[in-house]
Amino acid sequence: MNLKYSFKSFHYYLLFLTVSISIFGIVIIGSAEKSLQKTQTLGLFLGLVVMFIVSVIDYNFITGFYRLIYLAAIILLLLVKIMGSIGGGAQRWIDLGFFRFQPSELCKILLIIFFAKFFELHIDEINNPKLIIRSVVLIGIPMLLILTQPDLSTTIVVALIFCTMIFMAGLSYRIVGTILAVAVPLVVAVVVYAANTVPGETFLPKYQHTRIVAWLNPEEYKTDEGMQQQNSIIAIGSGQLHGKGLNNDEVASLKNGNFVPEPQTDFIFAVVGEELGFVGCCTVIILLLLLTTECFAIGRRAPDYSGRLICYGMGALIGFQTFINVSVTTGIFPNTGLTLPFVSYGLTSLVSLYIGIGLVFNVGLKPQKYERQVKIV
Amino acid sequence: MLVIFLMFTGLISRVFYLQIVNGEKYLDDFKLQIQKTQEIKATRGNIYDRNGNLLAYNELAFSVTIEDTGDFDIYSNEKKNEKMNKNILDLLNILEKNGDSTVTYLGIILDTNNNFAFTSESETSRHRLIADVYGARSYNDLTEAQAKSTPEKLIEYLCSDQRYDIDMEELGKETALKLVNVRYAMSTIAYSKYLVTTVAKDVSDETVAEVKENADTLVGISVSQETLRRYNNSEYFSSVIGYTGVISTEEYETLSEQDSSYSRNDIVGKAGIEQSMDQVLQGTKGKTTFYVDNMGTVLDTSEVIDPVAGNDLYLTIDSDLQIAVYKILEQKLAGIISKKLTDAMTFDASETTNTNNILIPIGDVYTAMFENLVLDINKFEEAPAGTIQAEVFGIYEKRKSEVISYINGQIKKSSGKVADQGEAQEDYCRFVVDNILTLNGILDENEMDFSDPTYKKWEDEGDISLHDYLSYAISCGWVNTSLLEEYTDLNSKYSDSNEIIDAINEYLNDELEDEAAFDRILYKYMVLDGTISASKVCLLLYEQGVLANDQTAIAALRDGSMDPYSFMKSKINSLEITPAQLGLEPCTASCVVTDPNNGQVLACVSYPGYDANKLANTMDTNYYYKLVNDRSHPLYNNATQEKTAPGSTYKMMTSLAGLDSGVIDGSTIIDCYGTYPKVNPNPKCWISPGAHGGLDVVGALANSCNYFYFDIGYMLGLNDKEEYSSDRGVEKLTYYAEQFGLDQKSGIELVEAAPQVSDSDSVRSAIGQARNNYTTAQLARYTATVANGGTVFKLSLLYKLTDHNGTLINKYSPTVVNEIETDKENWELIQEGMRQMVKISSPLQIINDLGFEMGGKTGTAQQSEVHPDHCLFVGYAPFEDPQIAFSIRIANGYTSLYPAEIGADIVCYYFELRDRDDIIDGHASDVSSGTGGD
Repeated sequence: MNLKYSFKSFHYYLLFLTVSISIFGIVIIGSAEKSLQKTQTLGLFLGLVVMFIVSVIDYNFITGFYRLIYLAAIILLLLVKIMGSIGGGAQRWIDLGFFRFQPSELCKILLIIFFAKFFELHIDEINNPKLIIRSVVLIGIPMLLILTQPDLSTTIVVALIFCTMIFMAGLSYRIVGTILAVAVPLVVAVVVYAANTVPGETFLPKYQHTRIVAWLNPEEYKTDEGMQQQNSIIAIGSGQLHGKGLNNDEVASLKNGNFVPEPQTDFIFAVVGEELGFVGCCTVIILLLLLTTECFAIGRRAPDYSGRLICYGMGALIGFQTFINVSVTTGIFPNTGLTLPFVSYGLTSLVSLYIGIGLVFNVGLKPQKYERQVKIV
Repeated sequence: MLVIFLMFTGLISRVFYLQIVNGEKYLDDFKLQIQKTQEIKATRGNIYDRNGNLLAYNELAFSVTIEDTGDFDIYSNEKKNEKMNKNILDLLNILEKNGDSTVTYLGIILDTNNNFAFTSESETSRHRLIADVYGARSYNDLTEAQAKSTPEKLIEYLCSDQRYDIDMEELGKETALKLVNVRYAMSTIAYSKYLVTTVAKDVSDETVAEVKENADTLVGISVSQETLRRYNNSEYFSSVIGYTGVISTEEYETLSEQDSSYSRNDIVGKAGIEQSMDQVLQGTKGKTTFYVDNMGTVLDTSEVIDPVAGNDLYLTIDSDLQIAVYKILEQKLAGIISKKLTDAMTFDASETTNTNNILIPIGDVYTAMFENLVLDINKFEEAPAGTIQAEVFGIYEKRKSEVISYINGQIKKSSGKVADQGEAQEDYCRFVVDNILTLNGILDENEMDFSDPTYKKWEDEGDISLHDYLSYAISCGWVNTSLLEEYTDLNSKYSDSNEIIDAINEYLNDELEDEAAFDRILYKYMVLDGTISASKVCLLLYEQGVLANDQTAIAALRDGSMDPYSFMKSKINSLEITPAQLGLEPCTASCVVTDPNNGQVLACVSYPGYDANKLANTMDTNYYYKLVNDRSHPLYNNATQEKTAPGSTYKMMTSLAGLDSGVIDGSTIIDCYGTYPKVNPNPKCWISPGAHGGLDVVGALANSCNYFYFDIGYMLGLNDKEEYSSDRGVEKLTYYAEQFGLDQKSGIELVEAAPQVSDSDSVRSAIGQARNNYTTAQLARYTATVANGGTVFKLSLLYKLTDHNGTLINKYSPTVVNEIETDKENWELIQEGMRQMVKISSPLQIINDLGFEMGGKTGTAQQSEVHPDHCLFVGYAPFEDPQIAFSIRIANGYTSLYPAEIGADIVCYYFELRDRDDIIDGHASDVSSGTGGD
């Protein structure tokens, strides 16, 4: 492979967005939990290095190993099952001594790569029920493994990424419509069912059921789960327009009063809302929106299907995960454990995202190369 | 893309809604949520007597507190429990070593059998406790197994690794319970870390020093200051002042309705003035307002309001007089007992016809040492070998096994009527039935038929054996077999009578194993039958420190040169053994002295008193148990709660009724013939079979002629046609009683029994018998009204109120309840009668000899044929310008000569007619040998 990149064609805008959000995240983490700021900074540098490396290896070279990549994802998830460490009632991590590796974060990226290639190969039969079933089975296996960790929220995100990718790959609106027609009432039914039953006495796992019920009746259901979300809403609300300021020592701060436990991870947005107010919230949401749209924009200009799908997959990942996370912290959705991309604390998550962004860069560089080739011809 | 845009627009609008639209509300609500206020207790006001003598005050003391600093939170649960327990145990060891007791939070104690038991009798509070232990919102939320938890189960659960992970085996029950108690108290405030748990109050200086020395290893444990309520000369004032303690749920509910500033952990007055004037003494609480985090740890203090100390209350009581009266009463009671004491082990009161001839056998004095808890029989077991206690314990063990096998025999086989078993044996059998089977519900009183002939046979005549009675009870279904489940092999429903009898037998053997009341009966009979000699009883008093060490006396008792009868008599005479300790009749007395010009109470004495210092702050439960079980009922206020018929002290009232209504006048002469013939059965004058002859109202009062007053009662019942109706007489007597305020409480600021004006039998009501019943305080007010010629004041203990700096807030003024309107002459006649009474009364000769004049009236109220009469004396002095009016009562005091002597002593003391030290010399006072009139 002849790699002569001209960095003129490098997407500085994408880099700017990514790094801005990451730095924003580091600043917020510093306010939430000072001791973790260094680690996250390290994560950013590590992420940038990995990103550059990934961005200069032709993605077509990478996607060539798509079967191996899929296998790697499955093996990682199985490893969690076998030797994963347990935390908060779930088995999601592999303890590597110096840090806890969360395979499902990486798997999201691996699955994006896999399906980008897979759909490219089968682009002509995308509306063939056989292929649809095949792809559903292929996504179903890792989803099941993630679901049983248990990690419902990541499962949902993976499903949404998959849906986006298969749709972008050219799935007909008819099929999409049918799926929505089934899925939406099903979700509503589950919520209604949960609301009218008692946790622990239904087919739903108790912790999920509790979260749903607590979300529906935050006042009555003062579980830790419900309280966490309720406190997050209060934290965000009480930030008002300008927030209480970073690293403040105000008494009336939920973060300072420990009312939002471990705010540096899933509930980092609560800290953003409380300390930086509406301005800070909009900044984060808009930055992540821009990042998402930029991924889609790069995808649209991609030279091939796999490149395009990688970008769309990444865009979906960032977009949906942001949406779900912010929805949870603001009480729109029930409490699920999901990080806010680039902002939440977590090495696996951050580095994985940078791998994904690296791939997007990679795709973004491709058209330039292509154009140049055209010129030469 | 559109989807993504829509989603993000949704997010921004949501954030806008939360932060901009509702932001302020969220912030304010949150501030409220984390804002806590904590009360700062105000110092309770002092209580003084009218002359400024301090009676109740506060003393600084140290307590040891523990707070959960969160230092152990870094450990795993198991490790955390281990570390916390170790930390608390270290503290408990220090406390134990220095003899400091811990504060109880969990309503479970170790009973005398070393079993866990609930402290509360009430079912509601037991249910609350069980629910709290399991962390349930209500008792009904518990599982069936949890709801049925015994105290044992609760402790086991709390000791398990689910909770505090305490090794009960290793620590022993007592230490484990103390540890559980502290952990439990801490867990109840786990989310309010700004609160601290007080582990021990009023700790010794040694503990303070050790806790401070080990401050670096004792995590979260510190020493804090608090105030303790203290009472000077408490024994004399306890009936007036009462004591304080932690507010109960019931008290909280009542008090907070009147005053919202009461909170659930306040210290409030539990009795006496402390209780009735609580709101004045409390002061105004201060408060700190601060912000806390999610675990309740203080983040910042925002406001501090200092408390304002309670007001100081000055009572109308003259403390010198109060103490003097108490001592005079005690000396007199001792004098009566000493006089009535006879050197016989028993005395059968039913064989005398005159209650004045009832004697007190020395046997009762010896047994009182056991029965009235003067000796602590629980200490016998641990006493070192060679002591009398150890020896007596050996005798007791032998006797106990004999008696238990006797009872076993009685239960299993029909062996003769219980009444024929001998006094001791009958007592044992009845104790088993009454104090164990009935009290514990084995014999279910709800099922029993009290009119059943067999029941009566047992209860009244003793004409049936224990075995037969129990068998009959079983056949009638009076036995609650479900309580005997542990003791039956089969499911009890189908057990036959013999199996149930066996189960009862087993049950009794278990119960009697450790039953202090039963032991006391055993000791009683061991003393009475000489198994434990009288000398040994006397020596036990020295061994247990009831009597101050006296080697000569001990030696004399040991070698027999001192006979126990004379010994005991001398100790009673010297007041080393008090009437209260003996708890024999008479052992109680009361006296209320008031100022007849304003209703102020100068002395309000109830004998015996108690030491409120042992009840306030941390209650001494052993002492409380002793008080409750004491036959002299020290917690009962004899001056304001005990009611008896006024007897002849009522005759001033009847005199006024007669004079004012016009049925007699000052010159009316009524001839006393001894027996009064106009109503059947004929009542008799006390002088019968003699007679007083003709008396006017002055003479009738002076001689306390019943006949004269029977006739007034009779005449009040006559209508125009000379027809007699008791109801008509009662109605008129009641009218005058109401004029004297005798139908109402005296108004004294203490718990007071409502009086009872006789509502039947006009003739007997007229001499203060029939259904007339008044307290000593009510009679004191009545006497004051006679003394001042018609003004009925509300009795009051309140003199003045100042703030804690001594600035006067309120000087209480007298309240007039009624002015009796009648001719001045009527009062003069009645007062003259009282003066004449004193003039001819032998116990009051001392007053006459000193040339002092006063008014007085004795009274006697017969209680029963086998108990000495209750006797009273009311009076006022000086005659011309009354400054005190008083009433005195000795329940079962034999004759009114004795209270009259007390009256003389009080007058002599108050007006310093005699040397005060001669009056109060610390010895049983002489009592006159006559039986007097009435």
